[in-house]
Amino acid sequence: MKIIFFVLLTILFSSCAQVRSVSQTSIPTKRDKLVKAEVKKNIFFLFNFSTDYLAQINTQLRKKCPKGNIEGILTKDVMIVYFPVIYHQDYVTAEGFCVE
Amino acid sequence: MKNFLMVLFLSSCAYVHHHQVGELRTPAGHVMRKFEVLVSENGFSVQEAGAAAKAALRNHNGEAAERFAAILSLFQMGPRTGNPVWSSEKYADGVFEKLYEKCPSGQITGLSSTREMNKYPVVSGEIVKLTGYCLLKKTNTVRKKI
Repeated sequence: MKIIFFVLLTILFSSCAQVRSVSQTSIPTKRDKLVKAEVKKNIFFLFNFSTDYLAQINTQLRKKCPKGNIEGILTKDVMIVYFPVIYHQDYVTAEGFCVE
Repeated sequence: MKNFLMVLFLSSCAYVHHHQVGELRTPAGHVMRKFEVLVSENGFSVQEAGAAAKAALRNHNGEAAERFAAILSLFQMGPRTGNPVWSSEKYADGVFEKLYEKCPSGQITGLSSTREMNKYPVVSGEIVKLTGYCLLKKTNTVRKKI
């Protein structure tokens, strides 16, 4: 009974998301339009052979604000572990203000 | 042997330690040319080397090799990204000059910096990568090139 209680408690308090890094650039005075870009990479058995998916963030941001500048960008680099060793996801988001 | 296989099995290739996106400007009358700057240094995992030595040597001083690796790793304590590198951390200092080589005008936008690692058993490539856009004034010649 004690073991079941311990297992349930562990599941309740254990987390699966790890923030690896956060960065923020200077925030503009004009903050009307928020644009967001995100990329995800599913990784099985820790095998990952490329980090090119990160380049899509800039492309996505440019598409969402084609005629303006994007400032005050908050970048979050998160790792979410679904099944330890077997499957995790790299999740990077960038959101900023489109100043036109 | 089991440890050695575990090291091989758990080794993957590309790890991202940090990624940062810089501000994106699109000034009128300019075109954007994408560029990439990459610097790297060889890293070395003492723990993996110790495990590999233990597996390879078995009864012939395998335990001693692992103990030596454990003592050596005490000199590498502290928070870090990736493996310790062979030389110093100065390999990352050259990125500033390399940026100017890629974009002599110095008008750079959308600069993203990534700290990543290409990992192999025992050794690794410790990488600092910068990608961005060089702003070039719109002229007929530039239009043709891009």
